[in-house]
Amino acid sequence: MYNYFVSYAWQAENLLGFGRGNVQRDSEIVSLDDIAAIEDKISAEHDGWKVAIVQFRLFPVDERREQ
Amino acid sequence: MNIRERIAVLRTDLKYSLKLLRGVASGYDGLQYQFDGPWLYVPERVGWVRDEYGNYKSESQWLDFPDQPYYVCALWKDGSHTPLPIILGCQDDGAPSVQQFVVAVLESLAFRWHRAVSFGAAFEDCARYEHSFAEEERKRRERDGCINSER
Repeated sequence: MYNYFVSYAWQAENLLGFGRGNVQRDSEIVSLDDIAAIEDKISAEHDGWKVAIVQFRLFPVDERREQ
Repeated sequence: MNIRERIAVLRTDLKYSLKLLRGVASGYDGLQYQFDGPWLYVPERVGWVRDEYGNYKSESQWLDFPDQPYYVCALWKDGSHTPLPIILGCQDDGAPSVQQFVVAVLESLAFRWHRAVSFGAAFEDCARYEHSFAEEERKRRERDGCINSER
């Protein structure tokens, strides 16, 4: 069984379309079911801002070793 | 940047790309780090813990390591090292390089055939190390009461 190492980068900009922030990066190991929730999580962290994902990579890792 | 500097950058880029390919071809050995002295293996703890149902399961995690993961390198069997950020592609500064292309191709091969490619094993160790380091950092920030308000 595999989990996924997900590496992603995003930019937040205000809802009027200007004031774009720096590209921020993060990575984590999540199960397949939780991958879709990552974008929601980033958006929740930037409440009131529009979030654009600029990079999204995933790689399978053995969850038996990762636990 | 003049033409001479561009050639020097390209030559260095090609050198490290070839070094990476030679290392991957020789096979993956483990994760190592180095500060002032010799290269040392990053210690890993393997033990048994009880899960929420009371069953024992094996647990494997990197021991606490008091520094940034960016000093950690994958060691290949030919003795060469490749830094963790290069393998995970965290050093993407927007400028295309041959080495980034080589990493992307190796990653794609390892994604399909996983452990058949030694790069997959190295990527997996680097990913687990990076993840456990980030988790420890997050716990430490929560413990210290720091709120991440970076935007």
